[in-house]
Amino acid sequence: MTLPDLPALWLTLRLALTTTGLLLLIGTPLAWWLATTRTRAKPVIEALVALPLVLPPTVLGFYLLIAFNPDSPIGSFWLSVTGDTLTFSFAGLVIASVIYSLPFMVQPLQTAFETTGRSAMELAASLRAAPLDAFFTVAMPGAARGFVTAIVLSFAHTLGEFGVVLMVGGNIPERTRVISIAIYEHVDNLAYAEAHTLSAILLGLSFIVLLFVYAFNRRFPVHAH
Amino acid sequence: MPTDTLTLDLEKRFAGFGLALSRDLPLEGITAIFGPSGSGKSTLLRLIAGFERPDRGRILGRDEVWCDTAARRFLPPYKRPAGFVRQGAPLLPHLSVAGNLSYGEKRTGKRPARYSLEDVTAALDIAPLMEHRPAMLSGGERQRVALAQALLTRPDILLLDEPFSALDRKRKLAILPYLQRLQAQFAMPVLYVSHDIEEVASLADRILILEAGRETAYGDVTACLNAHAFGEDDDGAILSGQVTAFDERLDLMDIEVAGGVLRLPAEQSRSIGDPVRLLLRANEVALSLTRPDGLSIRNALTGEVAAIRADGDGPFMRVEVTLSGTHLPVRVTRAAAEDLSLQEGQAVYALIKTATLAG
Amino acid sequence: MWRKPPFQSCVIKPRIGLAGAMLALLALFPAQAQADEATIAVASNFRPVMAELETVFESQTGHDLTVSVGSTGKLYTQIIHGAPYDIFLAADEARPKRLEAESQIVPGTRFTYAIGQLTLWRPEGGEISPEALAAPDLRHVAIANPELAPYGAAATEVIAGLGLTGQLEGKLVRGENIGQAFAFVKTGNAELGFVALSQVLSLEDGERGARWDPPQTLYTPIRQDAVLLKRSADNEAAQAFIAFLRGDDAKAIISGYGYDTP
Repeated sequence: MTLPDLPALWLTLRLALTTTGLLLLIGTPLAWWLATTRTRAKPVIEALVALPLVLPPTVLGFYLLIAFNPDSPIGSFWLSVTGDTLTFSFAGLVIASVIYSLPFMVQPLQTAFETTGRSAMELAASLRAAPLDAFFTVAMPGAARGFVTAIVLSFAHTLGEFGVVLMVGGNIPERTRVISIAIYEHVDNLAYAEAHTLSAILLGLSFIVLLFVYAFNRRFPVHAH
Repeated sequence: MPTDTLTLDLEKRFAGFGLALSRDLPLEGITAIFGPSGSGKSTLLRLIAGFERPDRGRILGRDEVWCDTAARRFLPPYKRPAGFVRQGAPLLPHLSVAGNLSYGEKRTGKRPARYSLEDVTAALDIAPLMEHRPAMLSGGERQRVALAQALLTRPDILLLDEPFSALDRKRKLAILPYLQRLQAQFAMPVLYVSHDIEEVASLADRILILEAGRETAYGDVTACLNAHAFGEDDDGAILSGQVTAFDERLDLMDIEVAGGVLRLPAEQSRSIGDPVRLLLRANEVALSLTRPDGLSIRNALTGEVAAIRADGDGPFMRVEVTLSGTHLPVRVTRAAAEDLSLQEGQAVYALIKTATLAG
Repeated sequence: MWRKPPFQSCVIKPRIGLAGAMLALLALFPAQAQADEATIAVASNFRPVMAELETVFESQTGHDLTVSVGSTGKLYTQIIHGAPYDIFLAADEARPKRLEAESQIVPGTRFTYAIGQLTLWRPEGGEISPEALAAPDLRHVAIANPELAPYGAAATEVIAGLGLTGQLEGKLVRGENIGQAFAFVKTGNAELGFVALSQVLSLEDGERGARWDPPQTLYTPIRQDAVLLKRSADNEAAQAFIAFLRGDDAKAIISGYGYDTP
């Protein structure tokens, strides 16, 4: 691998890790709420969460490009707080990736919570555990498989993200030039050797990550009654 | 002010179903809530546990108000001193048996401990299982661990929502004595939902019968069951009796009931003078005009025919026999009824093929 | 594509007969006898010009054009992998030259059809000069990716010529192509951008903002070459379009969009 691509690889890993961490914080309560709520708005929220699954990433990227510009409410707020723009910045990529990978975090968690959810929470309540206590000591351990799947899928999906980053990243080395963009550039530039190296790394990484999920799911089958 | 009753005054409406009940239940012994499925038994238990909110009404526990819609009070489930074991008796799958037992126990705070962990595990025979994972337990073992788990939260009352319905009859009969033992040893009031007559007859001290969300009977188990529990398809009667003698050579015991003495296989746990209930099913009783002789059926009770009526359009008749005041329905063929020329007021012998000893 | 009627696969009813069936088929495809079709791969910056060229060409000749738009690099990659294009209108001269060297084109058909003009642009009106690039509070300048697009390479030449390469490092945001660079500026995410003059001129009068056109001395002319691809040597529509593109009608249209013509 050529040295100039090392920052792209490192940046991609950093982006995937940051995105997955943030998604855990956002996705866990959202998935729990979706799994337990009885509100009529539930299908609307579920559809919104699932949108990135069906939308071309460029659509999301285009809207973000508009929402992030320094004259927009979001963009100007961010600029005044951080002194940096949202587009062409690592923070912008993180936000875009969080939105783009949201269903990969929320859906496995929601399914896991729905499977163990209410009955386990009632058992915990009858054993005198307050709701938050019960969430951490019963619902989360019960959804362990869902968490592994969600974390790994979010991470892997962010690794391979391309369209949104292309739209809002601006391809700045060491800031927004992620591995998928670098590959794209190499291919367009007929630098197939570099493209091969990077593609093989991405392929290997993704395979290892997915292998981990499936191996884990085999080892820890769902607790069933 | 502490009371020894659980006061229920509740209304709860669902789509196509409503529950309305006003009843004080004593906080002692085993109270069965009996009724067909869809009668509101489980809903009532979930309202008491706090998993459902009533539309209107109140629940008063021993020491505090659990729920009062008028005062906008609602004690969340985790603050109610009630142990709850639901159908299938699920446990926390990621914890060992020991972890399951301590989970609730360490969250109960300062409630007085009338009994210890060792008392409970000994009473339920689960001490050897402590390091097991729930997935490794048999059905019966899981039920006993679930009971122990609920007991160790030191509740004022144990709420059991058909916890044993997933077990086959043999395992179920094996676990019922444990429940009675808990009751006797730990003086733990139990509210027990079931639709199984035999189970209720064997366990309960009193019964609350629900139908379509309304109370149809409350009080003495034998009287309530005889008045309400039997139907066209599943006819029979509960007879109250008393153990009067043991025959060690033949391994039998005598039970005196209305209309005579029945000899049944001896049970170790019984002693002379114990009250028992017998479940007799209409199609397991035969009628004879004379005392049986040369038959394998030995048990015969004397009574007289109170009424005879057709049992639908089929070949059967339903004969109502009175055994010194207690009614026993008997199902015989129309042909047999004609052969015997059965008439109202006629003296007959009720031949008991099987009698299920319950309670 | 219905170049020839597929009568071999046609099920013919005995009563109607072969001649009848042929007539019926001919009636179904009346235009097929004279008109032909051609697929043109066009660099994205040339899209608006191509739209007008297409209209005029189709009305003059009756031929039917299909236009496929993309970055020059991407279109080149597609072509060497057998994409079904007849003509390639690149945004540079490098890829057509390479196709020529690789014998992918009909010999002698490579020619410069337009010379792109670079401009430094911002959507707000007023005046701008190269000094705007040196402003300390400038956050982002959009350019096309110089690795991929000649407008990007030209932009870096201009920046180097102005001696601003070091100063603008970290402020340059690179679009995949000149279209994306333009979008970065148009949506306000970058304050300034080196874009194609043709893009600015395609805007409504009131939206053209302010621009500075760098002198041609600062950057290599952005020659945009066209080629007729080898597979289409016999395509009448394609040949006709090549001829049209060299003619005065086409040149007038092309100049009107902010390009030089040879």
